[in-house]
Amino acid sequence: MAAFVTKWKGNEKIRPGAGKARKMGKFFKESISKMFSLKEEIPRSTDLVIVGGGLVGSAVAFFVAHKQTNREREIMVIERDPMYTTASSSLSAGGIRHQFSVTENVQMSMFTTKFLRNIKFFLGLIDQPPPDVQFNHQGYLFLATPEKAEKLEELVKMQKYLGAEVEMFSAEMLKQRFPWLNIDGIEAGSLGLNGEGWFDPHSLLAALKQRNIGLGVRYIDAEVIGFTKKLSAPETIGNQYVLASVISRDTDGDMFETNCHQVVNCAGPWAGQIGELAGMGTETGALSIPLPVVPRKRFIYAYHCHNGPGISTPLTVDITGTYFRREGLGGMYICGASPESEEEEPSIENLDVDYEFFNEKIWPRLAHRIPAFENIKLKSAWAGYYDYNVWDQNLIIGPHPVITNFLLANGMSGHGLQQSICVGNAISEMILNADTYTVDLSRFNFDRIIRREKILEDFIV
Amino acid sequence: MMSCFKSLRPANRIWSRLFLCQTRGYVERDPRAIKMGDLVFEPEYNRHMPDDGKTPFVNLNKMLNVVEADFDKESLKQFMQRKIDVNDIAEQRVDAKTKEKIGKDLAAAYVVVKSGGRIQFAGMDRWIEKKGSHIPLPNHNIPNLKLQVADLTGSSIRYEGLAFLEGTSIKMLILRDCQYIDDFCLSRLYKISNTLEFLDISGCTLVTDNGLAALCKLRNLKGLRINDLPNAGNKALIAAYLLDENPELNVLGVDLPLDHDKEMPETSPEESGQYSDSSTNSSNKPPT
Repeated sequence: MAAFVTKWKGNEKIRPGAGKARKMGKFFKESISKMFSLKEEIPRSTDLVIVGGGLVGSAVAFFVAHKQTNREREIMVIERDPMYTTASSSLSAGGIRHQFSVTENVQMSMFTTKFLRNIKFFLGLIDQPPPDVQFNHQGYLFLATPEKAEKLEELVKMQKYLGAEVEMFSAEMLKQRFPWLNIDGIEAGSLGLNGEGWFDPHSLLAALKQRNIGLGVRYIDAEVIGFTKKLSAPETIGNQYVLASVISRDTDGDMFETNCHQVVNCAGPWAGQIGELAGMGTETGALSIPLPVVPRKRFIYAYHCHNGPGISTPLTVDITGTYFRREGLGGMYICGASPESEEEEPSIENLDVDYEFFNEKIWPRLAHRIPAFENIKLKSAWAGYYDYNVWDQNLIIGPHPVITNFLLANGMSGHGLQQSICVGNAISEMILNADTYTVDLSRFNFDRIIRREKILEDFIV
Repeated sequence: MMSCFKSLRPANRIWSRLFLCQTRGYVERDPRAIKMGDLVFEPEYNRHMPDDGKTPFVNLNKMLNVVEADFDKESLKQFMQRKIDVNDIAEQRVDAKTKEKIGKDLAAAYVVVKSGGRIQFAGMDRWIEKKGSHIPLPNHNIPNLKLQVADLTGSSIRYEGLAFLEGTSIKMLILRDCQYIDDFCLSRLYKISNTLEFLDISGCTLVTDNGLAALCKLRNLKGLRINDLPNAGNKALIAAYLLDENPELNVLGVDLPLDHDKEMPETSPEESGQYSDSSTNSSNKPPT
């Protein structure tokens, strides 16, 4: 029916999507092999394809499935790592804060807190205990030098105006409240009093996936390796086209084609590759700009301290950017920091941990700020990827101007956990209601990258 | 099953609550819906979907309020529970105009008494509570009226309902057997951290360890009662951590001893012979 559809370039055998006839012999062969294999069949057509089944992808699937009536849209989530072994969602430190300098970021995290508060209504199953994400309510503490204290005060005013429960403290008040803190060089700090803290991201992901499966969302264990394109009939503007189908390869190596109506890119750190498969960064005009999201490796170190800070310790972010928080009730803490410059960025080839970074950069600064941490014992460490937006480290959300049915939800650069729920809601509003209205995210469209505008966030951890 | 129904106060049994429920129009609808009399058309036009010449999809299902529901006991219970939740949140809210008119303390008193609780103002020695449906509180501003004690035993106070705490100087708060109080509600108590001296959260089944940890924000707390918290397994340990930071705190309802001094043995390990080195083990003393 369509004017032209690109064919998949390659000689591999692909099980074609719906609407394409196959020879009778092949069809019978396939039916017989289906009888003897245990794996689930990848559907030949679906309405909504979500590339990536982490927190963002599952949140998108959840909100679309939750809001629609009577399963109008068939939703398919394609995730190549079904055990989430290298997924940023599971490896995250799990913090959620409302202290940002961009107003939409504040609103997005507040939406996520509200969602977690009402998790029984959204993700609870009938007659089962509500999903428990182990939310610790101790909040975030940002420390400021004398130069930055005034700016911090203005930002706290902005956050309070938006409804966040954050308070400014002077250095003396901080010392009174947290005796373990060394206030040398600190003028003030901002502490989140309610709604901030940290939780277990994997239990949220499991709860979302469980509820999604109950709502009829299909989770496919496959990897997306391409898209086919078609012109959207009857008229096109410029070189606009539409993604007609998704080609995925499952764990056995077989390739399947699935016709789709819309595609959402929730691939996290690997979003740039998915964008390239869809055609971003290949041709001329607006298509020549690739999706500026790359994976960046970050480390988290877990250590034990005998007489460390007590139970009221917030997730403290030092003036140097180093952060730490309590982990559990046995004297364990975790810490981390982002590298100071581009040259110090670790290699993304694997998830190996660099312990020299801890010994040289993190531990001395932590020990200076919290004297009790001079005697600690490093117990373990792990690494994960940030979906780093090299342009301005903020969210990119919305449809692509040329590929009209390709929605982006990428580039949260370390804030993916906090913003995932709101991003899922925003994408569902774009799909069901034509524009975001709960939190207005029109500023974060891909257009700002074409216009070379930046939205910069001051509080990056 | 009937026995567990009877253990709840009459106001909280699902059937009788639903009877008292008036829907009040708090139905969740798209704010941009077009209303024509009784009919409601919700816009579902989607500019991101390719236009293939068909008319925009009009959501007639919501107009007919057809919901994909299984008609079994659990989902009916869930459906009715949702109606009760929406109604409770609407009832426990106080709007800004009322607060301005009668003052924060009196507005807070209204919320508590209306939800089935009882209160005491500063300088009084009797409880004020609802008699039938009559609320014996004045409806004009009285200066220097301080709400001091709020007893919400067995009520259905929720997170949104706890907004009454803001700006009050409550010294004693009793949230005993409140089935909707959870960790987030305990975190919200920071609003009265300056004045709160006694808190009772026994019997709140939704409270977990993390909720008890959130009580670290109540820096002037002198008494805490935490009986019957089945989902808070480590409450003794968390009580010990809270005592570390707030030595004046008295914790009631915890089984294990909390004396830190008694944790260490009174004689040093070498003297008691328990951890003696095998190389210097001259006397074969049995371990004490």
